[in-house]
Amino acid sequence: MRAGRRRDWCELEVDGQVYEAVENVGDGYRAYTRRKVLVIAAVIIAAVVLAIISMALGSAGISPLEVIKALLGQADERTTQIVINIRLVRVLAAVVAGIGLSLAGCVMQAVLLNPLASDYTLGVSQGAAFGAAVAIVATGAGSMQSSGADAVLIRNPYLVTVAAFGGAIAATLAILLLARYKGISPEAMILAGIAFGSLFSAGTVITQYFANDVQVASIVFWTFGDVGRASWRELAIMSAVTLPVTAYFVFNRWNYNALESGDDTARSLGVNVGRTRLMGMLLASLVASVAVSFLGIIAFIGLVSPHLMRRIIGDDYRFLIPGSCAMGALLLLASDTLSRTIIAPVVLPVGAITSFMGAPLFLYLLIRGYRRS
Amino acid sequence: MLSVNGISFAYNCKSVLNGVRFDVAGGELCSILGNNGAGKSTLLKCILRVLQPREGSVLIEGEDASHMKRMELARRMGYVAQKESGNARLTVFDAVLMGRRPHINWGVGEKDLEVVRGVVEALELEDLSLRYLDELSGGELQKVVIARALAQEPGVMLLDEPTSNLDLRNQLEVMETVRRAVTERGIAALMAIHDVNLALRFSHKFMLLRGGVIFACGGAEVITSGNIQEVYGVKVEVETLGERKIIIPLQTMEAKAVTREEQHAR
Ligand SMILES: Nc1ncnc2c1ncn2[C@@H]1O[C@H](COP(=O)(O)OP(=O)(O)OP(=O)(O)O)[C@@H](O)[C@H]1O
Ligand SMILES: [Mg+2]
Repeated sequence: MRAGRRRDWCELEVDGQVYEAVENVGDGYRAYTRRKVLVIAAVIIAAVVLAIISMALGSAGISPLEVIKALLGQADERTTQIVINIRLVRVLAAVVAGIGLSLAGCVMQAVLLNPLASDYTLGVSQGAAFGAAVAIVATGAGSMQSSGADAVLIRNPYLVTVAAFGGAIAATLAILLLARYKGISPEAMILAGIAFGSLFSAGTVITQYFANDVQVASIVFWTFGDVGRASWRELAIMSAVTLPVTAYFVFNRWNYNALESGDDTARSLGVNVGRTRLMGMLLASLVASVAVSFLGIIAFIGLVSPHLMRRIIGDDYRFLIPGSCAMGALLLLASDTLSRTIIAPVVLPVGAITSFMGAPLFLYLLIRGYRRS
Repeated sequence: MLSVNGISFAYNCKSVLNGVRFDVAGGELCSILGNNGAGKSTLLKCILRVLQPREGSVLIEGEDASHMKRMELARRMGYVAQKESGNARLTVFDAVLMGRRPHINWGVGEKDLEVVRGVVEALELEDLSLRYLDELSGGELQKVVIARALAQEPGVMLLDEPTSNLDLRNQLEVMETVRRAVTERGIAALMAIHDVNLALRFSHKFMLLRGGVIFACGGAEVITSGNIQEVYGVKVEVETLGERKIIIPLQTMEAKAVTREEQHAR
């Protein structure tokens, strides 16, 4: 503070938190950033605890302590078998997919400067569903039975995954080509995404119309997201895509902050706006596409978890990117845990549960407004 | 040192700038004066390389700006936009810290915090430093944007109507801060401004822009009632108050269709 200038208050209230007698601006700022770090750490810890609880829940009757022992390789054979080979994959798949979807939403919102952006609103999920539907109908009902429902027969899960991925990427590329060669604005990109989304949805409906009963059931079943579909191999592929992309996004955090001030100002701060927007969209869609093609459609995570974090720690992408990752993992993990315990042994579609949990929480935060009295 | 060599620019087919050529030396604050739509913002954006001029070049310290990387340019040139969206949930301190971005490789260093603290104090933004941008008044936001450009520590500053939202006191304070930064750090500053008296008080140099061409350029001597009348279409009285030149608007003149006709002629 400048000498000789009296300050008639000596408290600073930030997000309901009161910092006393901030002697200089830097200290107040440090306290403020520390709070954000603490919030993110709390979410991460919650996710870890929930992961352990989630691995303990189920018909085998394993305690959380045994889970930890199994993870450390000190439990008996049977427990280790269940925890590592069945439950851990599922939990990790939820974490990785949660991170990917949430991050994708966060970055799409950043580069398009629009709070509505997410894989679901931009047609990525619909593209994947269309791709999957076409593949299921084209290969016909066959011999391989899928894990959950009886009436569902997906002959070639890999082909379906690849087709879903193709559909998701096609939706994205269509938007990006418009942006690249027709120079459409970020708002127009959102609208184009919605348009392509409904186009793909219509495509899925038409495909279903010409499919037989088993195929329709398979298509519908596929669109119910399920983190249990991943095996170690799928998990490895998902992680191999998600982790480097996360690193890329973290590396670009300043650029996303700069974009908030408008394109011209961002350029004056050294941001290559066109490339940041294009790469952001491409990689965000890639991450979301991988998650959706392996696990099916998991709505709402991409939209809601970045916004939950925005409400709590603000729009600063230096904190929002890790925050969204943590929140996405926590939310999807919580949804999955709920979906397989709420009316066990029936496993509800996790996509529906995410909306069930996320929507009320989100509405509550919207109504309450930002954290400040 | 900023040299602009014969920049011409057109939006689609609509020619806006024609062969604009001038220099601003280090430590010099040059005001661009001209009516709405004269091309002031367009000129600044061409210099910033946000818009690509049809012809002409921009030299910074004798180096061609079109060969520089964006980041390199950002280290040398700061920009205060005419409009700033300001609806981000970003604190004032974080917003000013953005100005350090071209200098930051990975993390925020002590020096960055020090610089930000310095400009925040110079512009008396301390009390607002943890406030979110969307909770500021128009003038407060404008000060934040100016602070960000100063935190960039550039050699060239482009300011697009930096005082348009400021009250009387803040206009003087902000201009004093800008002028001090310009003279102390040897910044070459170019500022679009509508308040001729404010420009007269703080700038070293004036550029009168009319219909995309420089009508007159030079020291305070170019601010004559004749020139102002030509550029703005307003009859003014130029007085001296103490040592300071001021203009007093008297009445508007018959609007001259000169801009468009001249443009057609070209
Ligand atoms: N994106 C655009 N597309 C087409 N024409 C434009 C665009 N931006 C500005 N113009 C036109 O170019 C001319 C110069 O605009 P510019 O913004 O440079 O004016 P200015 O001198 O900054 O005016 P003001 O004092 O109102 O800010 C105006 O006639 C304007 O209508
Ligand atoms: Mg302008």
